[in-house]
Amino acid sequence: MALAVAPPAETLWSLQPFAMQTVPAVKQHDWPRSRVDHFILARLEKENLAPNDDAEPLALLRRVYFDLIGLPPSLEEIEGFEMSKFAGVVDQLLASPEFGARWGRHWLDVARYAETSGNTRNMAYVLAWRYRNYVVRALNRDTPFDEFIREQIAGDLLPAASDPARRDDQLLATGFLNVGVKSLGEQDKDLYDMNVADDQIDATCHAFLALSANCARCHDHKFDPIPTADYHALAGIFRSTQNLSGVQTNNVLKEAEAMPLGKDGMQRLTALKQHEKDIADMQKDYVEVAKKRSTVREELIKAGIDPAKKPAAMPKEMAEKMATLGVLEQDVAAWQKKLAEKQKSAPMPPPLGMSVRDGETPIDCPVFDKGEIKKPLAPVKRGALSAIPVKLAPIGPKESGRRQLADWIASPQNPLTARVIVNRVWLHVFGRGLVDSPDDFGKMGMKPSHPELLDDLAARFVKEGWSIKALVRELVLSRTYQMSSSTRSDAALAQDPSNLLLWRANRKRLEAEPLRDAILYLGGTLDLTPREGSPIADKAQAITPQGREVGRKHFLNDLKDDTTHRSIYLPIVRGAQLPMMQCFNAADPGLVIGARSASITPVQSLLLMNSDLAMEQALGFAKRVTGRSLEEKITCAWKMACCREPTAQEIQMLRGFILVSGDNAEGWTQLCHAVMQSGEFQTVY
Amino acid sequence: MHTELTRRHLLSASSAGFGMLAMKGLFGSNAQAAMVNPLVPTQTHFPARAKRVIFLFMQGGPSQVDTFDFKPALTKQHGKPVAKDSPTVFYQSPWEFKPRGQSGMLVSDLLPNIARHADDLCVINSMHTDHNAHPQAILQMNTGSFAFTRPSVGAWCVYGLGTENQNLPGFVTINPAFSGGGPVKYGSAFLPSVCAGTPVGQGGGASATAPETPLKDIQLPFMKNSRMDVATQRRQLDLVQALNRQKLAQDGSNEALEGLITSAELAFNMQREMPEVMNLNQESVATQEMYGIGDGKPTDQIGRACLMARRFCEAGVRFIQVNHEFWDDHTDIFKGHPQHALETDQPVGALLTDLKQRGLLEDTLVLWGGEFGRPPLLNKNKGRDHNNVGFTMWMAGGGVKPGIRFGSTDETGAKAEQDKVHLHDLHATMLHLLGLSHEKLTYRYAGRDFRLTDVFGEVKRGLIA
Repeated sequence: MALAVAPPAETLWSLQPFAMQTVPAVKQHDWPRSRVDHFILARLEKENLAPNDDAEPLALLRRVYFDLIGLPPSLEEIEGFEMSKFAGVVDQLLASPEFGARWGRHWLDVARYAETSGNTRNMAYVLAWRYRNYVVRALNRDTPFDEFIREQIAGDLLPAASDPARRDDQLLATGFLNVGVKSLGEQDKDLYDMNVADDQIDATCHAFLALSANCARCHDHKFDPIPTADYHALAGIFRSTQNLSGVQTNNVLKEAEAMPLGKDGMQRLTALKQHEKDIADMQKDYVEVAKKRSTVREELIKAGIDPAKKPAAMPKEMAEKMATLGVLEQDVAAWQKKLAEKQKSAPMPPPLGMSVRDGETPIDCPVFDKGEIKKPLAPVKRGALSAIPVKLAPIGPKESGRRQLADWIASPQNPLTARVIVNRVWLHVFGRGLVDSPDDFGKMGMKPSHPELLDDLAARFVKEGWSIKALVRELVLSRTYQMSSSTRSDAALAQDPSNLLLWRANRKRLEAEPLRDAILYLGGTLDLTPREGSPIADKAQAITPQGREVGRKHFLNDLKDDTTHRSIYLPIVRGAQLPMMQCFNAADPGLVIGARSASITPVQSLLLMNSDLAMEQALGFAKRVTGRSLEEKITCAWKMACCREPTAQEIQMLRGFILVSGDNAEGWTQLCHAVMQSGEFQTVY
Repeated sequence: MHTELTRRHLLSASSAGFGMLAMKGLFGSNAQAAMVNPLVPTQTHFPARAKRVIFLFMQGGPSQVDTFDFKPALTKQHGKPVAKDSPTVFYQSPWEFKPRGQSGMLVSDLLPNIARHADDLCVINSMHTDHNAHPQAILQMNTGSFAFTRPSVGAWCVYGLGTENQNLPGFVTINPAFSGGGPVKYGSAFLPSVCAGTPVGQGGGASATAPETPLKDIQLPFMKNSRMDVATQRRQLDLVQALNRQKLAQDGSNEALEGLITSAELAFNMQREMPEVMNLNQESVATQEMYGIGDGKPTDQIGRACLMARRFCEAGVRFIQVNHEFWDDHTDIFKGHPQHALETDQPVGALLTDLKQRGLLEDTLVLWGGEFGRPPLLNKNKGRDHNNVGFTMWMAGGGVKPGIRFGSTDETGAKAEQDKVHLHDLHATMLHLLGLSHEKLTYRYAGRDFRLTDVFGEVKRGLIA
């Protein structure tokens, strides 16, 4: 079969090295506040476009709250806000633990995070939530992104952190490789391994490099410079890695172990295993004694003597046997007591996590002819992508190569890594990436709208220590970020309707999580404590490890959205997302999702109109606005939901409604419920 | 508000260029974003023979040599062990095959009601698929792929064609079993989420005779407000819409808000229309009886599913799937298969009759079958095991050749031999009948163009009238 020849690396923009750029000159000197603004304005001026006015202070306040922590500002914060406080608010939000809950979710989209294996046998990952919580912590402590990469690809191989909690995080980070889709129903062991490696290659290449290497499983990549040899070089690294998942099936045995955590986790696990072995050994001895006793007893019965009655007279031989039986009975009782005591003294099992470790015998993976598992060709040495001009450190025969791969990805010289993450951050701040295909920097992806800006940001990001928070801070303090989202400039709208050049701020629809969180916030029930654990793990407790398959005996068939924790802590079952999450376009955990779709569907409206969530929170919301005059109640509800004073017309409409509905609990609940259904509440302006 | 009015309003709105519903990536879109409404009916690649599909999915795998694949040679082998000392023997079907209709097609007595429609059936005796285990084969039947998360067949159809009634979902799956991939079977994966199937009820449990989730009085979630009557809700929605319009006037151009306004209106209408379509009490007693609907009847569940399918079909839903499980008779097939047949044969026969007399069969493609079939063998438990290398499915209506058998298996019915039809070929042919080229119906995700048939599939012209 003739294969399309992969294009050489030189032609791909994203594989060229990046460097800091000269700040372009602008005509409107007083507009820019930061380097970013110079790049944006210079481009607008080149196209004869004028930047929009600055946003209204309160619109900006709401925007930065949702963008940074995914929650609306409180009434006090709204009422006390003025523009001079903006930088302070930004710092306060960056320091808030809610930052990690918001930005951690962005990363979980990319990490295709879920708590079940999906696919053919959808088994529960009861330990996955610890990876989720690791991600939240890592973002909150602003783990430098290069370290974040190293932890997730090879945390187990890094020099162990001295703080046990940090060491646990290094181990839990590798859950990134392990929380993907697995075909646990697959009988063919080679195919199973290859599919797991395929998921790991897919996640790693998409998440960090925005390249899809997976086409190269069967043929050289048609568009990007990725030959099949590269794919199998990566496959070798991952096939030399063992998953510690804590998932037990009768079919795939290698996923059963889990990673012990805590200061003495390994010792505790060893002690536990030793304990289990001791019990098994004791049981063997016990059974032997018990058997002996039964034999003697049967012999006595055969001879017509009932040992229970202890007859006074019997032949000497039998009397001896009788005596032996007595001793054996005592032995048996002693053993039973000993066993019971031993069982009571079982050491506490250590906490466990999903993680990986290097396999015992690393292998080089053969290329498979057209991807067919039954047709292995020559093996390829473990390695990385040849088109990326970064040298991979040599991989020793006893190593999987993950440590080297992690360093290779996190290298300042890697032309993709910094660009890709800077673009992801830009996307979540501005609503669209500078590269509009955040998971595809290859030939078929989009070219950057502002290539110099992307390179400048990437170069400085690396130079200044790979800090996500510093980058976010710089972006939201730019004047570009602080523009109004208004589309009233007809000329600009005609020239650049999709706002590619950023002449205004983008309006953003609230995603599923901040929308739900905001609803709970309005209802006064949002619980901001991080959730340790997961309902999936809780429900699994009552079920044998092998039975933890979604749907089996209705396991996880009835998961409910009944927690008041933030939505990042909701359980995620592959293929069966909670209705609220599913219908508001939460990321499908079968795939690496850098940018969610923003579809608007009637089912979303139905959910806001009729769900228990909306109805109950509306009730709570109404309670929170009571105790004021009618006008004040209207203003209060509107401000809490939309972060601005209602206009006279809006007051009139809301007032008209309440006059018909009744100035009572029911009426206000209906009104508050209406406000939650409004487009403005669901949108960040 | 009248449905007609809504539709007209909708069409005029869409022709004016306002994408209304799933405007993927509207707010600062990504690369795949297209400001189109995937639910608006679209131009097909070539003239369509079928406008919609009803897929009757017999999960578990019905046995072909006991239904549509008559193998006289099996009689000679009857009782002979398949290998020396094996307890598994060749086994002729205990059900008599008779010539049916004008075509004289041989169909067994196991499915007498479907058999009556022999002259309308386009039976494919040479089906084969890639996997011999349920989970994989079920996923492949429903998504084309057994190893990766891919959009379901119904989602592809909605993505390719849009839908004819904007007040209803484009893809409805009735009585879907949780097993074998659960909602992945009707998911949209990377396609816009509006393309995903809306489940009605949930299948599962030992048999359709005593379903765990009866379809009688089934309701969809979020379709009814528990605290407000319709008039109050209408007044509330009027307030919401007034606020939205006010905001829209301030914003200038805001297609997303326009979309939201329309979407909320449709949602309100859907609350009325969806339960109406699902309300089988509007059908005559005679019709209900024809489908086998009635308390305690073994046909009640699938009868309801099939009648609902017809109603969804009339109401303009693009892809309707009826699910029955579980034909997996490894043990005592003589008891199992008659039970499954009892639960499904009359309803499916009634559906064909009904579609035909209403003139719907002409442009509705009906598809019947399991994820694979069964071998012509009887194991020691008096059951037949799995067979993915040869099995039977049938189509009817929607531009297929009526009254024919296509392809064949070997002498005993074990393996597809002549004019083999792979599952990918079936999917390709189905899309073709809908006016879509399976090679052109692609969706770009993560740097690659995906399609239902991956890199496989061939339209089988011999199936098309």
